[in-house]
This record gives sequence, C-alpha cells and structure tokens, in this order.
Amino acid sequence: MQNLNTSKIVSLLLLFFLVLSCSDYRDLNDIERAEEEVELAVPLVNTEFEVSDFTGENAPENVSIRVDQDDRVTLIYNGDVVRQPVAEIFPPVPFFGVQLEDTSFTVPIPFASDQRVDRAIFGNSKFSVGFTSEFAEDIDVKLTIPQLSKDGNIFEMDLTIPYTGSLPNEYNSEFTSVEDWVLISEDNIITIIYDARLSDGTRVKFDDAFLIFDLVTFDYIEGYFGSEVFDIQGDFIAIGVLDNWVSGGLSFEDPKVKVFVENAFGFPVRSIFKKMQVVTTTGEFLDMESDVIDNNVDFNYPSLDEIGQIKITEFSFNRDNSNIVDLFKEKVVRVTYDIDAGANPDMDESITGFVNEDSYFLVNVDVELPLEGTVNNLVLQDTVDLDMSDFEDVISAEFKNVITNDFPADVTLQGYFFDGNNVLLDSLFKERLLLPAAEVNPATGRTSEGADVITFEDFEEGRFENLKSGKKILVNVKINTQQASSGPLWIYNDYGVRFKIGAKLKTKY
Amino acid sequence: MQSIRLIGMIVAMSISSFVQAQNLHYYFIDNVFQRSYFNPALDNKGNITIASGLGLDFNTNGPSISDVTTRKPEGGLIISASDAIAAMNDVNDIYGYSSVNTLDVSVNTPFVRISAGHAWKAQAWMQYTKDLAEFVTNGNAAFVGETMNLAPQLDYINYNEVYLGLQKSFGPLNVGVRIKRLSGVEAIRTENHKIDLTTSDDIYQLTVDSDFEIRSSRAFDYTDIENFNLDVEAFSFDNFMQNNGGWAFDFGASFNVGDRLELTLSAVDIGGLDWDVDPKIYRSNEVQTFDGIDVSEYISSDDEFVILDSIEALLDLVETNEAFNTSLPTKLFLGGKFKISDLWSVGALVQTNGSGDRRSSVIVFNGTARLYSFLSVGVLYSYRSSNLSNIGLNISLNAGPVTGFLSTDNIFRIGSFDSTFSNLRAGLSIRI
Repeated sequence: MQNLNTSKIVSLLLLFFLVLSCSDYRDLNDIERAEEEVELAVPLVNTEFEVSDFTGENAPENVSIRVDQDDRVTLIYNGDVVRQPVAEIFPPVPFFGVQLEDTSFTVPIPFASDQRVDRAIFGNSKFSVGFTSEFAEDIDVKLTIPQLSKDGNIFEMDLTIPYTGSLPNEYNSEFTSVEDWVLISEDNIITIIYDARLSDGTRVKFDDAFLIFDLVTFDYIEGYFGSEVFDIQGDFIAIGVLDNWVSGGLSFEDPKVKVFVENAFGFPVRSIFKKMQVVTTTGEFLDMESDVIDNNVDFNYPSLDEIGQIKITEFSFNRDNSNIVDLFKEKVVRVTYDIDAGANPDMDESITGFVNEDSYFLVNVDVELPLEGTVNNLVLQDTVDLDMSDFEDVISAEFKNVITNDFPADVTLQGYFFDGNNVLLDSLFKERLLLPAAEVNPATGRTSEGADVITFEDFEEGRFENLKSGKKILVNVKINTQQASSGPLWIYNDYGVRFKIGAKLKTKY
Repeated sequence: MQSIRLIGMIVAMSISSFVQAQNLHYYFIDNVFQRSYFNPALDNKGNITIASGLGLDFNTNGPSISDVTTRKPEGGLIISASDAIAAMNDVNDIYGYSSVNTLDVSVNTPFVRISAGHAWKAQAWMQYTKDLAEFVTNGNAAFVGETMNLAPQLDYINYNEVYLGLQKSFGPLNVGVRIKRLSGVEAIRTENHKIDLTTSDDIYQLTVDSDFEIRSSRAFDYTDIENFNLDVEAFSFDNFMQNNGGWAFDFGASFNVGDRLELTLSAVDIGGLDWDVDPKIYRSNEVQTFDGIDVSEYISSDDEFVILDSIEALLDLVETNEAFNTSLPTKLFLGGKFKISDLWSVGALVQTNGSGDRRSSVIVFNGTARLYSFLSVGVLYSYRSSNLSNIGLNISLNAGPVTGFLSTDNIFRIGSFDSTFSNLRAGLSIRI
C-alpha cells in the first residue's frame, strides 16, 4: 500500500458493489405487456365481371357466348346432345332357341310385321346346334342354311357327333359366327337343313334337335322399315339468367330455340313434337306455339347411294314463327322438349331404305338469347353462406370500395347480414350502393367506359362485433336500363363491372 | 397473433442478452490463465495451471429496456412495443455472446508448454429494421403508398470446442498456437437481406419483393409465416464431437521489453464449421403480389375464399436440405502493458472482431492498481463507434495458488435499464 489509503480502497470497492446492488432487475419479477393496436391494410376483392365470364371454365357448364362482327353478344344455352344409335332404334334380337322338328325346318326372323327386309348382313351373331343321338356309333352331319350366302356360296357346316359309349348320346356344337353372311329372304325366314348319316351312309333323323342364337345383330339392313315411331329421349335446358329473380322485368328482342338434327338412317323421318314448353320462375309450364310444331319437320336422310353420309336438318322457333318473345317475357328459367321421330310418315313402301351399324339420330336443342332488350327494375337476390372466422380478432374495419360499371344500366347493390336464426344483423352499406349506368353514345348505341365510384364503409368497433355472428349474407341487386335508354339496348362484349375492395382491419393484442 | 410472437422474440432476445457480457479487462490482469484466451502465447507462467471461466456480453444500438418499459407505481414493469419503436433507429443491431470455459489445463514440460481444455460458446448478432418492428407491432395501415423494409439479419452459432495448445518461450519472445476441434450445436444465418413490402394506395394491394435466405441447423423450422419454430439451446453438449464439425486455430506472440513492457499480437478463431445436421436453407427470390380475390374464379366453384392464405403466400420460402458452412468471427488483438511502478500499470488493447462486412473494432485503455499482494483493481475505458463513454472496473483476488477475478463494463449503468450494453467476465485459476 503506497499511495492509496485503506479507506479509499474500501470506498472504491463499496461503490463497485453498491452499483451492482442498485439493480433495476428486481422489477423484472413483475412484467405486464401494454396493449397494442394493429391495423392491417389488405386487398380483399379485385374482380372484373365481363360478358365473357359467362363462358370459360368458371361459367355454368351449359353456357357459351357468340360475339358478332359488331361485338354484340348472344348467350347460348346448350342442351345436352341426344344421340341415339342404331342399337336403340333397332335393338338386337336377344338369345332365342327353336326346336328343329324335322331335318328341314323353317325359323322366322323376328322383324316387325310391317317391315320388309330385302337384304341383311349379319353382325357378330353366333349360333349353336344340338342333337340327341340314339345310335351307338359316330354320326356325320351336314348343316345347310340356304338363305345365307357369302361370295356366292350357300352357308354349309359339317359336324361329327362322336359316340361316347352310352345312349342317348347328347351333343352340342361350338357356337359358330355368321358375321358378314348375307341374308336374303322374301318371307323374313331362314331354313335349317341337317343331313345326318350313319357310317354305312344311312340318313337318319334325330329324336331331339335344336338351334340357338345368342344374339342376332345386323351390320346392314335394306328394305322397308314400316311406320314406326322412334322415341328420342327428351331433355331440358336451364336458363340461368333469372335463377335469382325477385321482381321486375327483363325483355329480349329476339330469343330463339334452335333445333339441330343429324340423321344417318336411310329412310324418311318426320319430327313429332311431344313437348315444347318453357318453365317460368313461378314454376308455370307454358306451351310453345309455332307452325313448326303444327306442320312438323321432315328430317333429311341419306339415299341408298349415300350410305355412310350424315344428313343435317336445322330449324328454329323465333319471333317470326312462334310466341317465343312473349314466353320469354314471363321470366323463363327452363326450356323443356321431347321430340320423337316417325319413320316413313307417308307409308310409301316403294321407298327402299337402309340401316347400317353406324346409323344414328342426333338431336341438339339450344336456346339463343341475343343480349338486346330492356331491363325494367329487375331485382335479383341470392344468399351466400359466410365464414367470419378469418375476422375473429378484428375489432373494427374500414372498407374501401372502387367500383366501375360499363353497362348501360343503373345498378344498385345492398347486402344484409343474418345470423344462424335468420335474424337480421346489419346491412353491408349504410346507404344502398349506386353504380350509375355508363353513358350511352346515341350515335353508336355503345357506352363509354364507366367511371370509378369510390366509397368508404366504416364498421366501427360495435358494428363489426355485431357481424361476427353472421352466418349468411343476402345480396340484393337492382338493375334498370330505363335511365340510359327507353328503347332496347345491345350488350357489347367489352362491357364489364369491376369490383375492387380493400380493407383496413384493426385488432388489439 | 404472429406479430406478438415476433415482438416477443425480439424483446426476449434483448432481455436475455442483458445478462451476457464479453469484455477485455482480463487482458490487463496479471497472473491469470484466462489472458491466454486473447493470445495463446500468454499461457507462459507456472508449471501446472487449472482454470475455468464464464463470459457474457450484450450490446445494442437500439432501444434499452427503459425505452421499452415504464415502471408501475406499485413496482414492476409495463413493456410496450410502441415505446420501443419510438426509441429505435431505422436499423438496429443486437449482439450477444456467452461462453463457458469449462476446464483448462496447462502443463509446462522441458520443451514446450502444453495446454488443453473445453469451452462452450454461443454468439448471436441480429439486425432488424424499424419498419419490421412497426409492421409486426402496428401493421401496415400507416404505410399505405409506401414500401417497408422488413428483412431481418441474423447470425447465430452455438458450439463446443476442445483444444490443444502449445506455447514456447524464446527469451523475451513467447509464441503460442491452439488447434481447436469444433462441434456445432446449432446455427442460424441469413443471407441476401431483402424483403420489401409495398402497400398500394388503391385498395391496399400488397407486393413483396424478396431476395432472402435463412440457413439453419437444428434451430429453425419454417412452414409458413403463421407456423415457424425458433428454438435455441443454452449450454449444451448436443452433437458433441459427432457432426457439425469444424476446425479453428489461434496464433499469438508476445514480446517483453525489459521487465516493464509487454507487447502482444494474436489472431483468434480462424476457422469455421460445416453444418450438416438437419441442415435447411429457406429461400425466397421473387416478386409476389396479392391484388385481392378474383371472385369470378369462385363462381360455380365450391372452393373457399383464401384471403389469409394468399397474403401468407406472399413470402414463399422454399426449403431445401443443403449442408452449409459458416466462419467463426475471427478476432485480432494488438495490445501492450506498461508497468509504471509496483502499484500502477497501464495498458491498451485494440480488438477487431467479425468476418466480412460484419466486423467491429474497439480500443480500450486500462489503468490497474495493485493495492495489496492479494488484491488488484483496474479501471478501463473503451472506445467504440456505437458508444463513446464506457468505463469499466475489474477486481482480482489472489490466495496462494488460487486467483479469481470479476470484471464488467459500463459501470455507471450496470444494473440499470438505461444500459444498451453490458458484460461480465469471471474466472478462476489455480497455478502451481
């Protein structure tokens, strides 16, 4: 110890440990967190509904659009294509058997009595014969069917019935195909002849003989097919425009129901309209009235020298030949139809027709709605389920809406929130949101691009809390073209409505 | 909410780091083995030495605890993220270091002095932006029409080392070397630090422009912004001498000019680790925008709206399993001590620490009084760019072959929540 005295040293050390002892850290035993407020600004919806959204992968399956050279839009609701092949018009003759009561026995071919088959080519049809022999030796059998021929040869088949060592000796042949063999029979019959010989050449007759066909099909038939009515399956076409109609009117200037028929059967066929109706939003069925229905339509068909060709017939129900314009004023949601085909409607037996394995009827019915018309205070309404769980922590929100309307129609919009007991909680907008119609250029009839309508909707703390029990929202849209034009207006392909919604969501933690 | 977790992570890191300290005092304490941590050539006294030590360090240029908290009248603290933000710089750093020198043994042989030992070390450096703190605390609504810089930077390693050291004196010249076998416990390191979030002033469309990478071994798992796990170990022997291996070297020399002046130069922790246990690299390098849900896509669809998923997908970190390596922050020391009298000695030490562009330097000046044969007290002034007024104290006690010391920086604010840096070093050695 030279220049410092002990007291100074002790003081220095005390200071050192005093400083250490004056720690703030004892406060760390009791820490609380201050409440913080977070406000996130996020985009919610950014979407544009264009006319083309009625088509594409997200549109209802049965809708397409057609845009003409002037960019005008026609909605096309496609019905299912009904295709009926030959097997449904002329079903195959199922399994059948006949007892051969003699060595030459005639079997009828099951055609209708008013049908005349001049010539037929078997499809993949097979037959088998069976005999019961009482002879204790092998027997040779020749089977002949004179009505069947191929390449100038009559159908013949040789069989040997082997003796099995016991009697009676029962024998069943393998199934034999007659595919491609040609049947020519004026009386719609075939004759089965069997010639059975013992080893010494003696011809014998079996006590029991039979023939069975597993399935009789024809690849080609030529003749007269009578005046049968072929049932072509009916169908309906859903028109989705007014699924959610509540009130108001929608008028189309020129709606059409178009029928397209393909026919590969080679005989005259005439339409038989069993049903052609529209179903309205109220469930009412209204009949289409038209000369087309009264007079029927003869379908084109290929002649004998046009075998393999497909003939097309098109006709429509429109404002010139039917009451369709009036029907569509009744808020149509569905078009139903059932069209049959009557063969040889004039019963002219001199017309020789044909059917082959590729013959079919195809009927396709479409509804075309050219989007030219008027909308008079049309109110559409739909309910959408809600899941507010994403907003569980949100205490208040401010929504910013940027909406643009290119259509020549005023659109007003409101949403209503309901809880699980259908109790109204609140509305989406304090004031019903108005999207004014875009201005129509009188010279072109088209609108200019709509202006952005920017609104803010504030859901303050109590109001937003109230919405958290919401389970569904009812969206109510009202559309009116009267302010834009008193007459009908076309909808053009580039019209659209753009919705952009962002939100500032506030929460505390 | 995730923001709470992020804030908690930052605050927890700050608080926990307050109990960490690394200081340079013990370079100036005579006759302690721990001087050789600075320079292997300084293990040059006694025949047999056994030693152990503890080091902790914390340093931030961001808010202190007192900036983050307010005292309740009845005692205790209220911690406030908003208060912390108010005290932040645009860019803030937090540095933490802790080490446990479990056991050091040094034996002087006729030819060379041989030493061996084990230490566990963990060091972390994190840089975060005020924008990031604002975003997780208050959201982005106040930044409509602006771009926020959200990318944090993090470099954290936790490892064990086992070393073998050799020291030889040639008259006044002492030289030493240590070879360290490293065994990594865990690591996290970020690369390419760009995550820019722009909020449009239209309907608040969000755009994330990212060029960002996180590398991890065992410490970080990421599924999405809502589901990630950051789990760091304290003192740990996990993986010891198995995987995550590496090597490092210390080199040093000292020169005595007479009995009064000692000059030293050393390079410590030259080496690195290869991280191959559960290695994961998460990368994002793209511009992603969320404009809002296109409702037309949901017409005739049973799919649910996915707003939250879409926002979370803005930062899409793609995971790959790739081993990676990290360098240890190499430290260079240049120092000297001058013995004025039997009572007083003075000294200075320059340290530069880090790797690449993450390097910081400090210069310290020391005055030590040997009050008794068994008691010395030292005062140290350090100068670094982030802090110009750091006064530290150290004390060492000697009882026969046993010497212990305790030292700390920032003595005027030690134990105070105003402090933005603090450290502590304690050591014990037995020298025969």
